[in-house]
Amino acid sequence: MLIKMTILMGNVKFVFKSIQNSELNNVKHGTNLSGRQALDFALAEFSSAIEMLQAARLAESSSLSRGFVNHALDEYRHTEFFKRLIDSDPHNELRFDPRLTITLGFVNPARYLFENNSLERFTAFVAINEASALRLFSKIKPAIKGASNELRDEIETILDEETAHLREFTKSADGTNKYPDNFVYEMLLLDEERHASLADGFLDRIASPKRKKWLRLRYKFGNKLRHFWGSQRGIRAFVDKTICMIVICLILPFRWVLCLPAAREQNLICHQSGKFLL
Amino acid sequence: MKYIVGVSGYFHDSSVCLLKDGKLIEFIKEESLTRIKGTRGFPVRALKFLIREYELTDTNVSYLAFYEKPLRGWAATIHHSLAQPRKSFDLLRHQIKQFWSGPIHFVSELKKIIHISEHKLLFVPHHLSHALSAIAFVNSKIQDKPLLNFVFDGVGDGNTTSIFKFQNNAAELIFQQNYPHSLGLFYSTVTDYCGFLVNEGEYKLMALAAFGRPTYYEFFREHVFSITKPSFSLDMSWFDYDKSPERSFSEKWIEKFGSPIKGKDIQDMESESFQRAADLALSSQLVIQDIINSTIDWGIKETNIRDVTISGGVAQNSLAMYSAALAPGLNSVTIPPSPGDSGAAIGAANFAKIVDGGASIACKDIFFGKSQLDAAKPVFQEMFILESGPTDMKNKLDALISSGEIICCYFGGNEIGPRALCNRSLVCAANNKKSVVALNSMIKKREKFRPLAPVMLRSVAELWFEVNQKASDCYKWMALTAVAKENLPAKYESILHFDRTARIQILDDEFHPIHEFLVRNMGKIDMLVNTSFNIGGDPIVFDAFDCYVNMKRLGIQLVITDTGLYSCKP
Repeated sequence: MLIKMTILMGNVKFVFKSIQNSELNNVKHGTNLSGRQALDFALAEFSSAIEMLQAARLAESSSLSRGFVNHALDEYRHTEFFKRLIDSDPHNELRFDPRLTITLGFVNPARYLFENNSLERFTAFVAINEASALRLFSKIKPAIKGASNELRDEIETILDEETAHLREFTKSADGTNKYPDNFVYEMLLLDEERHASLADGFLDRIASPKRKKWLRLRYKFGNKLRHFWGSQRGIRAFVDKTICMIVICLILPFRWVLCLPAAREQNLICHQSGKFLL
Repeated sequence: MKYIVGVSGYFHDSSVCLLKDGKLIEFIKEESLTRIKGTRGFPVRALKFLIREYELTDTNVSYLAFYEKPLRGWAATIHHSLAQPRKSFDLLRHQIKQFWSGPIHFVSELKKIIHISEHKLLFVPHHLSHALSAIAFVNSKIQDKPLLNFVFDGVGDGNTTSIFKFQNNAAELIFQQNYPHSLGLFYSTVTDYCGFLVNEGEYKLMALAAFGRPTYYEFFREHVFSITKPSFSLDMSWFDYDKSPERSFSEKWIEKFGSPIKGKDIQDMESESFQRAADLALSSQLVIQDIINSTIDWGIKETNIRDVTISGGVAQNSLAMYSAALAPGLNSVTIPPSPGDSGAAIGAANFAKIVDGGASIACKDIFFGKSQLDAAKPVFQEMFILESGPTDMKNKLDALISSGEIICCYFGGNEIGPRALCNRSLVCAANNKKSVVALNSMIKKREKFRPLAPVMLRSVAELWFEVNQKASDCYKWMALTAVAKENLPAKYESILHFDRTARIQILDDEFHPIHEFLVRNMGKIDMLVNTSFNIGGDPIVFDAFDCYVNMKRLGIQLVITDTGLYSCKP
């Protein structure tokens, strides 16, 4: 699941974000996935793992909790895959830093999705985003395959032979490194497909068809809006710089005010010394 | 029942602590709850945790202390950047945005989760928070003596180095160095240049130093630093951290030292990049040690106080602390378990306690809070299977570790600092090289140049390592390294670094299950390797879910707890 969330206004109005921004449409088939995109995917998968882990903590049923934990394990494994992809590119200078998930708005640690949504809404969101992730990953599959062409034939054989093993593997977390990247990626696609269909099936059980339709529409529209805004980087940078320039011009003449003398009290440990922000 | 809350946040690891009737009972990092390492920002989850667990209200909280002056730090850095607005435009943009999301909003963010009367809010000078966090861990024998507190930091409230004199619950400022001339930011620059994450990879740079040559040491001293005891200044043309939020080093630095080193290039220990990084690591290490030692020397001569505490981000450098503890003229040195920003929450709470009319906190424990594992919960049983109960788990543990098994430990409360101290650890026999290598490279996937740390009884440590008695308590929380003596048996050499040092942990608590294990197995297994119970880059485990997820990801089957030995359900 690939998610980002933006709090728009107030407590209720918010739009969920997914990673599939319009820039990803530019991925050229047959080439390696660019570092920035691999980083985005790694961050998105990592965020999803965090969200699932939080959901596991809050779920009322222990079996549902366990389900969320397993889902988190899958997402952690996907993160590792994309992290390896980042590291495998010798020209890539980007580094995976988990703190970027907060800085770039992939997660909001103050309000995780499960805390802010009913199980029904959370499930609808997972279903929509898992399906989106699956579509997106399928689309960029040639770019991943381009990273290790020589393994393609071997992988096709492995895929045929190990179907049974595959299912088991998707449930365990420690074997990722034993498999070639393309194979892991195939499994990642399967995971996403499984997550999407599980969430969709679960939503069928807990929401009426009308409600389900409404939730789907809502999150799809939210994603579209977010993608549109995400693609307007130039405009955002222009607005940002202009505002900052104005602020700097306004405060520059008052720079001297910001030069604060050091506290020189005989005893710094007193109520007076701790009273002020300055 | 009265509570005091200490809070740190917005820059490095956010954290909160709680004093109950003057005693430190809880310390939680925000990252433990968000599961994102190094979470900064307002510690909303950690505070909510305290409010929920201890039913905190305005009535039972006597003070809530924040670890810095929110406006002072912002003003100091903006003031510096405005001196060269064109060059510093990117940083200024960043700082202006900080105004809307930074610590200035601490009070408004706090109000969203708890109402605390205004007169109960305290904003403690940042370096004083650091100093008071160290004072909380001073041995009770010297707590009544005058103390000299050194703070070596990146930056806080616009200050980078401070010296305080602490006596009779009063603190006086002796010396202060201001931004941008900073030991911490200099070291972070080298960290950044060597391909590690700033505020995260500094300990890796420290480990690299053992493989280096002091090639750039003289250059740093002559061309980058200008040292006049106790102050120093940096030639800022080598740095960009005061101009850009993206990069710490300047173009001039690149011209001198070559193109920036990539983290992955260092993996090959035979490469030119590795050697260049190691040389820079050692050279910068020696420079910061020089400055720390000369500052301590100046402070002792100036005040004639010989009992010293050291804190601040730079005090996390255990190699530099080893060197500082050797300074002549010292009676004792105390480095707290969490000398960085997260530990400063304790300092802030200590400030409030003294303001409230009490004496400084005197911490004897290093574990706080209670275990988050509840074996009776259905969800716990959904994830774990009991292998042995508390009575027969000792024998099983002995057999498992003797046979080379790697075990997860989860006991009691949380560890306070950045290091695993056996309550949230992965352990194996230190004399089983195969297990040590497997734990280091295959399970934890650490860099080849970083050894694992050992835990042992005090008698063993004193037999095989040069234990500095002036910093005796600090080995309990791995605050400084120790050099191995010649008589260290060869079977334990896999825990030694390239320079024969080790960041040893001495376990004195005779009721701790690992202490009991070491006593039971004395002569057979005298040391255990002890590393943090987490995946590299993730926070240390906090609750049952983290425990299960991390065990699965690490591929380890068994966890030993207060209530028994458990295995993961498939």
